[in-house]
Amino acid sequence: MPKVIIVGGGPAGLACAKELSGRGFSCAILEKRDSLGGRVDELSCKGQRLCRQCDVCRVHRLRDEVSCSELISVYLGVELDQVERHGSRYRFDISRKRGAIDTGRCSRCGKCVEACPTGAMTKEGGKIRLDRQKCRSLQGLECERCVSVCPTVAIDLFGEDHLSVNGDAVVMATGSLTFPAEEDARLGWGEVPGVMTSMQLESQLEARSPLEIGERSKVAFLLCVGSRSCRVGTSICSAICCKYALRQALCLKERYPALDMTMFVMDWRGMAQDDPLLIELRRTDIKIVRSRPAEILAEEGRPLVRYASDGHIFSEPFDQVVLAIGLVPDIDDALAGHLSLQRNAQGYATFPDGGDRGIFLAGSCIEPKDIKHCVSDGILAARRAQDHLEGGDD
Amino acid sequence: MTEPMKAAVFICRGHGVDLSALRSLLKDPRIGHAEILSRCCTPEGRDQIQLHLRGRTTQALLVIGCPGELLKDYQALAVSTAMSPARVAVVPAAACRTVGMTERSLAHILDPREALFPPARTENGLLLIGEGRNADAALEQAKKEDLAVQSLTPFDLVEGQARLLGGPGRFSLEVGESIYRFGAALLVMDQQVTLERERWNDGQGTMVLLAGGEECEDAFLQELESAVNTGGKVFAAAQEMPFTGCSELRYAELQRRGATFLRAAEVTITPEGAFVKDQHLGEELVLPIAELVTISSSPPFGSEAVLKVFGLPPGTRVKDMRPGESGQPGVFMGGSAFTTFMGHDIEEATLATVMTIADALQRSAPSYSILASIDKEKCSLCLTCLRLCPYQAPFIVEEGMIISTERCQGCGMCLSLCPSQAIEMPPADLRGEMDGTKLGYGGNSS
Ligand SMILES: Cc1cc2nc3c(=O)[nH]c(=O)nc-3n(C[C@H](O)[C@H](O)[C@H](O)COP(=O)(O)OP(=O)(O)OC[C@H]3O[C@@H](n4cnc5c(N)ncnc54)[C@H](O)[C@@H]3O)c2cc1C
Ligand code: SF4
Ligand code: SF4
Repeated sequence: MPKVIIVGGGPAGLACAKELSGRGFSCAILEKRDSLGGRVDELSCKGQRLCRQCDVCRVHRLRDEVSCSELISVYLGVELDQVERHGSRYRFDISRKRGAIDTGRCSRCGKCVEACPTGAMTKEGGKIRLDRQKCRSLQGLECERCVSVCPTVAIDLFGEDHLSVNGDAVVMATGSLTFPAEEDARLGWGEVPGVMTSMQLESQLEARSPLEIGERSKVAFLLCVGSRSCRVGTSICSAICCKYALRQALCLKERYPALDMTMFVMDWRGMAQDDPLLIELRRTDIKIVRSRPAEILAEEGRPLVRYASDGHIFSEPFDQVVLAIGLVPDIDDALAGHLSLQRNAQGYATFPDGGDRGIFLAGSCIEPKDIKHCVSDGILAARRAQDHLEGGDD
Repeated sequence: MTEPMKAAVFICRGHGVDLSALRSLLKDPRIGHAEILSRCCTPEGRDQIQLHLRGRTTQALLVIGCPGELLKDYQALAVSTAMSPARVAVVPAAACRTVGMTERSLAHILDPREALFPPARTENGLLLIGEGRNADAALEQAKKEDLAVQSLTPFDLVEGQARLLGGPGRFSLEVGESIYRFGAALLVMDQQVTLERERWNDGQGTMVLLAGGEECEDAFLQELESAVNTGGKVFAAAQEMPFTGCSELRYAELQRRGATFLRAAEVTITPEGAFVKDQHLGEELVLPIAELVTISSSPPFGSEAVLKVFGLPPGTRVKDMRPGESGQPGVFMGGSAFTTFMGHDIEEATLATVMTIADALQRSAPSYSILASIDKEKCSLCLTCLRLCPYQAPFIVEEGMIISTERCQGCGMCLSLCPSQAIEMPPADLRGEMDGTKLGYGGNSS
C-alpha cells in the first residue's frame, strides 16, 4: 500500500495525517521533538468564559485523533540522517534516541541514583528513570558516573536506534521558529527585568510557570517584534502575532480587570474591522498606541519604554512588557539538501520547479501562518499527495 | 382528541420469514390491518398493498420479510396513496426473529413526533451557492471529490424567495417552484472591490486611499505601482495596512520608489489639494495632488439574504473550528465575503473546506446527524450546557450559543437539562438505519 511520509508533527502535519488516514492511506509522521503538536504544545487556551477561537484545543484534539489512528505511525525524537530517492519512492534514514536504561539488564539496585550528581536519575515505583534535561553527560559535560557504577552495564546514555522509513510521497510540515528576542538588543529582553516574550507569557497563562503579572500592574504589549523590520532582518509580517497578542491581552484583562494595559501596535492585521476580538477590545479600557517603540531601558528595576507618537517622544515606565514575537523560517541546509528544496529571499521553503516529485509543503514552513491556515494547508497537501499517488498508479 | 394512528402490516413469505415469531406482534392494538402475502415484491403483491392503502383505514405501512433495499419502492407506493414516506418501514426476514426490531419499527412509523424529527441523513449531495473565482474553484473541487453537487447563484435565492427546511444530511431548500435536497451547503462569495477615480485638475500627483480590507490588496498595490510609474508625487493613505506575510515587501518596495504612506482614514479634497490628518505624525497636511483613487470593498449582492436563508446572522464569518465551519451544522462558507485573514490562501482554504465537506458527507458515521442544535430564540444564555457538556461542545460566540458539530457526540446531556428547552436533537431511536432495518426516510418523495 502506498505510504506518505510527513516530516513535522505540528498542526499542519497532524491535519495532513488525519486527512490521509481518513482517505485510507497509511502515513508516518517523523517528529524531531518528543511529543506531537509542534509549537502548539507550548501554547495555552486563550479563552476564559468566552472561547476566543485561538484553535489551540483543536490541535490537541487532532493529536488525540492521530494517536488513535491505526493507519498513522508516529516516530518521535527522530533525527534525519539521509534521504534517498529511488524512482518514485523515498527512503528516510532516521536515528532515534534509545531509552538510556536497558530494562532487561537493569537490576534496579539504585547505585546510579546515588552516583548521579544532579538528581537526573531517579527511582520511581521500583523503576529507574533518567531526566534527560538534567543529565550532565547529555548536556555535553564530563560525567558518566552512573555508567561506571552500574554493576549490570545497563546504562547507555548515547544509544541510538537507526531505522529506515519508506514512502511514496513526502509532505514537509516542518514549521517555523519564533524570533529570538535577544537579537533585537534594543528591546532589552534578558537584560531589563520585567521584559518577557509572548512565548513565556503563553506558558504562564497555561500555568506551566507562575504568572509574573500582578493583579494591578501596568503591562505593555509590543507587537511586530522580529517582524516587519529590516533592522533585524525579518522584513515580512508574521501574520499571527496581532491576533494572538490580542487574545493574550484580552485573556489577561478578563482575569485581572484592574490591569492597566497598553498595546503598541502598527496595524491590526489578519482581522476584519468587525472581528470579534476587535469588538471585544473596544469594550475594554486597554489603551492602543499606534507606534513602534524604539527601545526599552531599565529604570528602578522596571522597564521604561521609549516611543514616539503624535509627533512627540514619550518615556513610560511599566511593570511588565510582553514582546509579541513573530515567526522566522526554520529550513536548515541539511533538510533543504535532502529534499532539494530552495529557500526564498525570506528564508521560507519553495520548490525549484513545479515538477511533481511527490514532495508537498504545508504549514508555516511556507510562510508565517496561524493554526487555522496550517490545518487547511495540511488537508490540501493530503489531497495533493493522494492525487500524486493515484496518478502514479495508472 | 384524534384517533391514534394505526399501521398496516404485510408479511411477505417470499424470503423465508418465521411466522411464529410474529404471532404476538400481530395482536398489537396499533395494527389496524394484517395480511400475509405469498410474495409482496411482485406486481400483484404491490397492487394488493396499494389497494389497501387507498382505503385510508391505516396511516402507516410496515412490510415484514422483504429486503431492506425495497424500502424506496414501498415509499413510492405509499406516496402514490398520499401517505408520508416517513411512515413506511421494512423489516427484513433476518431481523424479525426477535420482536425488538419489528417493535421499534412500528413505534417509529407511528411516532407522532416524526414530523419534527425526520430521521437521519438521507442526502449526501452538496448545494453550492455562490459566484466568483472562489465559487468556481469550489465547484471544480466538489466535482473532483465525486460529490453530487448542485449550484445556485445568490441571485436565484433572492429572486426565488428561498426557504430552508431540515438539517444536516436532510436539507431541503424551496426556491420558487423547485425544491433542492442536499446533505450540506457551501456558501462561497467574494467581497466586491470597487475603484473610484476623482481627478480635479490635470496636474501631477496621485493619492491612493484604501478604504477596505485585505481583499483590496491587489487593486491597491497595482494602483500605487502604476502611479509610481507615471511619475509625480504619490501618496498612499490607509487607516490600517491590513496585508500580511510577504505583501509587506511589495509596499516596502513602493516606499523605496517614492510613494509616501500616511495613516489616515479620510481625505478631504480642497482646491489646494488633498487635506489629510496623519494620526501617527499628529499633523494636518495639505498635499498637492491632482487625482484621488479610492479603493473600497462591499459585501457582494445577496450575501445578507443568503445568510438569512441559512439562519446565519448578518456579518457571519467562518468560525475557526474547522475549515469553513459557519456555526450552523451542515452549512459551510468560503470566499472573501465570509472569511477573514486567509491572506493569499483564500482559494486554497475554500478547497480545503470542500474536502472537509466531502469527508463529512461520505465517510463519517451517521453521528453527523444526531447532533444537538440550539434554538437561538429560546436560548437564555444561562450557560448550563456549556458547564455540563462532557465533550465541551457548546461555545458562546458573539451571536449566542452554538454547538460545535465536531465535538458533539449526541449524548443528550444538554437536551435533558436545558432550562429553556432550547436544544433539539433527533431522538436516538430515529436514526437512519439500525441493525439492518431501514426505517422510513423523510426526504425521498419526489
Ligand atoms: C506566542 C505564540 C502564540 C501563538 N498563538 C496562536 C494562537 O492563539 N492561534 C493560532 O492560530 N496560532 C498561534 N500561534 C501560531 C502557531 O504556533 C503556528 O501557526 C503553528 O504552530 C504553525 O504550525 P506548523 O505545523 O506549521 O509548525 P510547528 O508548530 O512549528 O511544527 C513543526 C514541527 O515540525 C518539527 N520539525 C521541524 N523540523 C524537523 C525535522 N527536520 N525533522 C523532524 N521534525 C521537524 C518541529 O519539531 C515541530 O514539532 C502562536 C505562535 C506564537 C509564537
Ligand atoms: S480559546 Fe482556544 S483553546 Fe480555548 S476553547 Fe477556544 S479555541 Fe480552544
Ligand atoms: S501580525 Fe501584527 S504584530 Fe505580527 S508582524 Fe504582522 S502586523 Fe506585526
